[in-house]
Amino acid sequence: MNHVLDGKGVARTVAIALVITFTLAGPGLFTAVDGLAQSPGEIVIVTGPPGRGDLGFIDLMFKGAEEAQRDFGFEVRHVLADTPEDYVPTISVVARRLNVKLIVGVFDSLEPFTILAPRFPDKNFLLIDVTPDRYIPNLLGVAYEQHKGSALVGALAALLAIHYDMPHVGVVFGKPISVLWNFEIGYKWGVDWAIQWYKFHFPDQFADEPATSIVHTPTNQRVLYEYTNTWSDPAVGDVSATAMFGEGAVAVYNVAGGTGLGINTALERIRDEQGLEMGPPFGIGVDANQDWLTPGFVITSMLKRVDISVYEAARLIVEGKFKDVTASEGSQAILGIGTMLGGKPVTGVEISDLSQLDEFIRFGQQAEEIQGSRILPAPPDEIRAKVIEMRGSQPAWIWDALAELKLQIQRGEVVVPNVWTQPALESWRRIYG
Amino acid sequence: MPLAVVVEKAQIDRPRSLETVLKAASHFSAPVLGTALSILIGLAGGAVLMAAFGHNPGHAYASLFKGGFIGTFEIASTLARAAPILLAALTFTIGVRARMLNLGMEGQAYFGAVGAVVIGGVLTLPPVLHIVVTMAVAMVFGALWALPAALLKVWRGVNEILSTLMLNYVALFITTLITVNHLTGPGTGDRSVKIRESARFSELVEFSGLTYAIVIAAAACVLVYLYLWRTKPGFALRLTGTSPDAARYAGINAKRIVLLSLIGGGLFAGLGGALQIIGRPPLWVLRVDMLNVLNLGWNGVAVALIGRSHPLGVIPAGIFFAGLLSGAKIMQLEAGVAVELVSAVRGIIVVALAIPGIIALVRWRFKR
Repeated sequence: MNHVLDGKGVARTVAIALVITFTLAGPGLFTAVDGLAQSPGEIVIVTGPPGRGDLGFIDLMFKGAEEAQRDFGFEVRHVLADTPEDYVPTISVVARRLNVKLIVGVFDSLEPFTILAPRFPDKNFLLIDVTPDRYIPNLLGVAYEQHKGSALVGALAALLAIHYDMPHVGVVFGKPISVLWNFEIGYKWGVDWAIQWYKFHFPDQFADEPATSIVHTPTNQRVLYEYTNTWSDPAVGDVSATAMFGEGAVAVYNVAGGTGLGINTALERIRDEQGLEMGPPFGIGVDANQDWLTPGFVITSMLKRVDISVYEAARLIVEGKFKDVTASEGSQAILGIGTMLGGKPVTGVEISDLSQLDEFIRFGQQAEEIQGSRILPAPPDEIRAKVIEMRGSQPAWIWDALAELKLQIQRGEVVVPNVWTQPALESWRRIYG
Repeated sequence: MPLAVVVEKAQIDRPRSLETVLKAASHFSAPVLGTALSILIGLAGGAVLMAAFGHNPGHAYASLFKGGFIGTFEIASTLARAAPILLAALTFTIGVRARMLNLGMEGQAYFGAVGAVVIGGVLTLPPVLHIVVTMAVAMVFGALWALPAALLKVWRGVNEILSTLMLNYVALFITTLITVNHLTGPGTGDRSVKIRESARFSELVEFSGLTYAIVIAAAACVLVYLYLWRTKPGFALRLTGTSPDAARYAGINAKRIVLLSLIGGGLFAGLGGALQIIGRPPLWVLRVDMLNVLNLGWNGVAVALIGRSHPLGVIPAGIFFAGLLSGAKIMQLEAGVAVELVSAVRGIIVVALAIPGIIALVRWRFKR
């Protein structure tokens, strides 16, 4: 067992290792803890493994934090909790640090934040996509109106089905948890709204729609949907989406995280097989802007503006208003379409348009840097041109209808069902299938 | 016993010359020196990597070791992280000692965790008894999952490396299935019911997660050492490991040793899985996708290799490994080293430390 330890080799190795270590590490060992005081504070983002590079939620938090760094001078730090047990010790280490101003976490941080926030009253805690069940003065939870965003993309999908005379729209889900029911019924409601809208505004065309059009599909069969039970299996998403496209879905909405990226692989295959330049069929992205993933085939994305939430929380801290807002929201902020936070309009969900495209192409470039692999499917200019061409190829009345629905939701003229429970889900499924 | 015999025996036992003392000293110091050398090589490798990414390795290492080992909270959280890993390392160690490369500790830990929830979360028992029964059942769960690979080896001679490795994936799906369908509470689709208070270890240092689980884990290491080095079946197991032919001539039943080492090993991985749930406050739940226990077994293999597959060696190795886990947080925060880079640096150090163990293992296992 000790053969490795023989002779001069050992001495030589030790010498080399010592020289390397001390040349590189020596100076720092003695100047370790200065240079902290200049920064206005730190934003620390807590995640589980694997961390960055998901092109969704996690990367969006960093996007917001880095924008706060740019505008307010915060330093951004990332700390990884290895297992669920690891969150409390890890976050308590973070909270003990003097310079930390804001600690940001997602669902896994809910309980740890609820335990730790009262013990570290001078730190600010921000929970994304989940809210605590009680008011804690320095903990703000943000929930998103994904049902409203889903209604918008549902309406868009249905309008496309009308335009292209196709019978269905589709959606691929991850695991059957209550937040996805919220997505599901919102989406189905949006489909119905669009068909009613079309009937009202174009009664003559409505009467003349060909037999394959979605307007003739029974209400409970318009939306093809599947719960795949996984968040991380694109192959499953691909199979599911391929089946839906095969049955005549004009667009398939991704509500399945990584699994949903299989919609893009399905679209790419259909594109290559049929030599298409652009959709139909289309995909609909989720959380982050995914319009650039398969250019010309992702009609839009339902954005959760996690980045804006993180940025606004940082701004509130700079302005000294974080705790006021937490108090007025009772720790439970809901952000969506036309919502306010601390007296300022703060968007929570929206459907993507060209205005965020460049922002998110940069986002993709950054992910490329982090992952060290190619993510952008084409040079940014090509992607941009393709997306603009795709959007321009759809008739204007579709975009008009969508703007109208957004306005109606914002003004409260229509109410998108906000479903969180099994009984509510079942009663809506009796109508929409 | 006549006095003369006692004196004679004492003379035999006592080191008779300086030479013997030095020999004995080098017997113990060689692994220590080797380990120190490995640490240096690992640190140098990590330093090169960090310097390449524009970080100051000195600052980074200072925060790494400060975060892992300096201060009550830091030591406490390091020990808390170490406890389950020690047990998983013990599983590998027992296997190696019997010339079995058991890689099934990952799946056995899942089963241990499920066993802990079944007893600790579902049953009602009086306080101390509840913890004891929970741990015992978790150990049995771990051992039961070692059984298929052990029987395949005994009956059909199936290579245990493959069978234990593959069964980990099977274990993940079975334990997920059990947890999803039978162990989740109302409104908690993604996690099990909470462990009842009577089955929980209490926290010793606030928020560190440290409990007496570390004492249990260290005691298990000592017990395994005593068993292997101070009992007859332990000797038979080690003899089979070092010289299978000699063991066969000595009339040792090789199949019994296979069963003993794999199933006995499973006990400890099962306990490790359980302590991850009942011994690490304050959440007390098992995720349906085994998120809590994921990688516990693999960390155990690394620790066993660093500890030269010795039941006492894994104690310092496990604490060092856990210290790197704790210190990584401070390295991320204080030195601003990216999470991904921290993992890479930690990986280099761990691999460098494990290399002597790996070399020894390969020589040992594959020599003819």
